[in-house]
Amino acid sequence: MDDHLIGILSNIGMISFIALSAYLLLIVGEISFGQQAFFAIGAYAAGIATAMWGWDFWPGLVWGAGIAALAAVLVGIPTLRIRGLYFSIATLAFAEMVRLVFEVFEYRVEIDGEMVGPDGSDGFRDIRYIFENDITAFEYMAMIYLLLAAVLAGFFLLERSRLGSIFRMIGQDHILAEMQGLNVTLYKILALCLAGFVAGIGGALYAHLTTFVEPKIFNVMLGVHSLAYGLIGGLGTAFGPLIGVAIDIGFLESVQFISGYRMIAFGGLVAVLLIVRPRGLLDEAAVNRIRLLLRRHA
Amino acid sequence: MLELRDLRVDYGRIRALQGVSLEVREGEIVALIGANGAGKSSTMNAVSGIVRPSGGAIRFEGESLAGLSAHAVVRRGIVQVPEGRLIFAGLTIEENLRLAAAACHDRRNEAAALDRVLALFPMLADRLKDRGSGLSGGQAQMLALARGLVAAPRLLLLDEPSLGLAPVAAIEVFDLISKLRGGGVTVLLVEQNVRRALAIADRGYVLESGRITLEGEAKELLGHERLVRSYLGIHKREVA
Repeated sequence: MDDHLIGILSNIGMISFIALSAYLLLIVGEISFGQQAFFAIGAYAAGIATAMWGWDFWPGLVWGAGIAALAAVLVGIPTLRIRGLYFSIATLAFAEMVRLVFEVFEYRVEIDGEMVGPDGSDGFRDIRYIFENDITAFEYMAMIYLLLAAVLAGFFLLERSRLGSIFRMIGQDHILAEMQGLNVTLYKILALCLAGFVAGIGGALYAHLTTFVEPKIFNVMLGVHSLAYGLIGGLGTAFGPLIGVAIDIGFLESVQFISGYRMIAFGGLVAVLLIVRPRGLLDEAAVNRIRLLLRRHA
Repeated sequence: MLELRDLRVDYGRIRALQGVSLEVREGEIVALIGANGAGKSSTMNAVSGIVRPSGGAIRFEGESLAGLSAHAVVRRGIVQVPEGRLIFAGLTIEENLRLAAAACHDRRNEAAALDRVLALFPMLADRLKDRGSGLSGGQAQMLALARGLVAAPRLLLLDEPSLGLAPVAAIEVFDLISKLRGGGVTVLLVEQNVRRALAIADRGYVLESGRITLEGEAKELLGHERLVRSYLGIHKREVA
């Protein structure tokens, strides 16, 4: 496999996590423009744990995702009382706050005669775990997809579980769900927590992949894209957002003669789909049809 | 069992209920009657915790429901079947019912509650795996009713269960409600179909512009001149 392809595939895998995180919130009926904040928190926390505290890769990753999940719960408690557009704006404001905090966040220690750690707007350099441990680009890509497979398996279990049905109920009509005796706010905080965890995994993977974390990449565009992936690919199954990522990163960004028009094509695609298929290519009805077909042929 | 005292509800500067007092006793079917905008749904929504009253008291089995959120009210045993046959169209009939059962029962009682309700609604029993989106209006209302009952409420709030249904389906719905009598469920019924509602109810209240203007035994109300004039469409014209 050539390096270019490995790079693209690794990016697709990594961005899939934040797309899945935005997707989970879309399922419970909330639009978040702020999932990049949890991606950023995961990247910094995992980077700090491995590069500065000398933790191993996996505990560092779980730590990063866990801190992101915790942050999501803390954000959820005040913001989920407000709904709809106001929640969306609140998440956007929070994400910008997080980015600005990282712009001034300095925490550096000396390791082997070198200063390592987040250095404000200069970012957090030298997260060199995968080099120091001789992990090849191909192996790292495999690790990303292993994790993605695990998270996807989690999503499929969720969709089959009672919790998954409850999430979809709340997404369809939160007042009616409340009338069934469900504590909607609590379930939404749980969804936000899970979404924060998933975004945090993506962030941690990102930190190790690029070895260098800069606050400015965690801007609104990342959040808007991650939201759009689910809306393009479809909200009927967790494969939906992955299709969105594959179209954007795998095609629009990576095919040379198109990449200059990426934002135009992407914006147009979102606009057209919102009109023609407001819940994406693989929406609930499409997924049901596919399921029926599979059952008939099985 | 349920007691409203001087209940007031405001939406901004608009006063929807100006002091409603009513009582529902255990085992009764009580009809709440009124024109559009009289405050019937506001009364129900205040009881079920969806709307916060601005004054007055709501007591259920002697305890105040003030400040409880909607899901907490459900756990006290009050379930509302909202207006408009609201079901979860994306979920199967079984999921609709099971999730409503789960909120109020533990796993073992859940299956029993489901069986008990499906016995009342054989049509639903045959279609458990179908999605809510495939149901007709009457079937959707049956599902909404079944979903309300599966939680084994002690008080069932029914908001316009016959609204928009074909006459045959409406009759079926009223038959079902009257069957609930004696089954341990108390019913507060909001209806526009006054005649049918009073035919199955024990007592009734008439709500006009946010106030109770008339109350009594259902049979008495059916013969009451003012009610007959306003709601049953029979106009007595006095010739001078």
